[in-house]
Order: sequence, then structure tokens, then C-alpha cells
Amino acid sequence: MKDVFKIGNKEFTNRLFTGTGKFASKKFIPLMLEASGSEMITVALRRVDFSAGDENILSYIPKNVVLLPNTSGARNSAEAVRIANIAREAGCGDFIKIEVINDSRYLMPDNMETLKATEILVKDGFTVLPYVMPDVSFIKRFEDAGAAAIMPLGSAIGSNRGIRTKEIISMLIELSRLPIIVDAGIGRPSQAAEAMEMGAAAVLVNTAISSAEDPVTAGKAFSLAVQAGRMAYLADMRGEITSGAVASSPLTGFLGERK
Amino acid sequence: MRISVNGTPENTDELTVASLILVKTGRLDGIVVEYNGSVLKKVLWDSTYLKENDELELLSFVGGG
Repeated sequence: MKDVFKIGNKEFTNRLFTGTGKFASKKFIPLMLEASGSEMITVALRRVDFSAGDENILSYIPKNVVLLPNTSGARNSAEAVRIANIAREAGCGDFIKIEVINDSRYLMPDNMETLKATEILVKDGFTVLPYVMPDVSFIKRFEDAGAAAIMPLGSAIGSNRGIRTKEIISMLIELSRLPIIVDAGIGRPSQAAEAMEMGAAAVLVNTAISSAEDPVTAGKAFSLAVQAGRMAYLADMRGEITSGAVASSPLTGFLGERK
Repeated sequence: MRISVNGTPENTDELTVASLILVKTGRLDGIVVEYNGSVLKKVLWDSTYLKENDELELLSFVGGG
């Protein structure tokens, strides 16, 4: 069974999206991509640091992997639009993850500014993936703006706390016709599987993979968990979750039973 | 001449945007340039001559989620 999904004009078969942040060595990036099979990876744009012997991170990413530049550092829609245009000029394609944050403690996204940037960038031909606070009232707004997907946060960036916004994300999955990609906070493969079981189209995992002692194996573990969660979703598991036990073996015909 | 690179004023004798980038970063690949507020395409780096008070942002991709 071929289980593909489309974002913009690209088809994906692997539902684990990854990030390039915080790897102890960039050399792990291509190895992680190979082990996980991830087909899309995020990058950020910054001023060149002239004092550091900086190197081109793009040289570590195989050409068949879709680049998803983010607009991290943007505090409003204008800054996000500026970063997106620079990223596209760099020849990274039309995909952009809009990230507009003006809360430095919890790094929560600003949905209003993110929506404004989405409207502008879709008109300019970008494939826009907005990183948002899960909010049902924004589904139609992002659909109307032409977003290619919605990326609600599971919990705070880098917190490893998992899907703390579960109830709302379930509503987004049910109500939105756009793919829902759970981004941020997924710290363990079991949490990634949980998002996929709920019906998320994909998950984006960065910190949990890159900060593992062995990021290559971690990437593979997340990929397997995403596959397992996706298969469980497709299998449409109907078993009710109960508080008591429901025996799975017959409760009659026990050995030594006397009438 | 006095120009500004990544928000820092400096004096330079470089003639073109391309030569400035090479001197500052040691490479030309993987760099994006914002020249006086708008993106300057790579094909124009060689033919864009620096002038007094130019403002340049030299950017590149780094690791990020």
C-alpha cells in the first residue's frame, strides 16, 4: 500500500520531518537523514559569523531532501517576509516555515503575525507551513490564506514534554482539510507515535534527535515510531480504553473447575 | 571607504561586493547578500561596485528547527 501525502507540489512517503539545529557535529546530519529516511529538513538563516570558521550547512544535506528554511528570529510578519525572501533567493526552493515569536521565555508563536506573513508569502508563490499555537479559530483563516499545512506545537520548543496540546490538536486534525504536522516539544519516539495515532499527517522533530548521544539511531527510532503510529491510525483501532480489565482469554472451562 | 557590514561600520578597499564577500568569509557559496535593503542576486556580485555608506548583510544557512 502506497501511503503518500502532498505538501505544495512535493510528495512525501516518510512522515518524519527533521531539523538541523543543535547537532554536536554536522557530520551526523546526512547519516541521520539516511537512517531515518526523512525527506524534509529545516534550516535557519543568520548573519555570517566572521570570527568562526563557519561552513555551509547545505553541503551536509543530500539534494533529494526538501529544505524547509524557517523564519526564526522574526518578531513580526514583516521580518518573517524579509527572511523568507532572502531564503528563497539563496536557491533553497519555495518552502518556508513561518515562525514568528515575540515571547522569549516560552517561545510561543504569534498566530496573528504568522497569518499576516502567510497571506503575503502565499501570494508571492511560496509553499507556506506556519508554525502555530493550536487554535481552532485559526484553521479557516490559514486555509483561506492558502497555507500548505498547519504546524501546531505539541509543547514548548525543545522542552521534550510531548503532546500537551492533545485535545486541541485532535480538533485541528478533525476539522482542518490541511495536513496537520505536529511541531515542537516531541521528545521521545513514543510521543511521535502518539501524534501519528491521533491522525497527524507528519511530525517535525529536531532537538530530541540532534541532542541524543547517538543522533543517527535516534533518527531511526523516531522514524520507526512515526511509521508505527501511522499504521495504527490507518488500522483504525476501535478498542475502547476502559478503567477495568476486559479478559482476552475465555472466562470458562478452567482446568479443575467443579460444578 | 566607509561601509556597514552586518550592522558594523568598517573601512574597506575592496571594489566589488564579490571581493568583499571573499575577503570577509573566504567563500562565495552558501552566502546570501542583502545590499542596501534588498537581496542582491549572485550574478550581480561581480558587477556591483561598493560605494560610500553602503549597507550589506551577509547571511548564510545555519542549523535550526
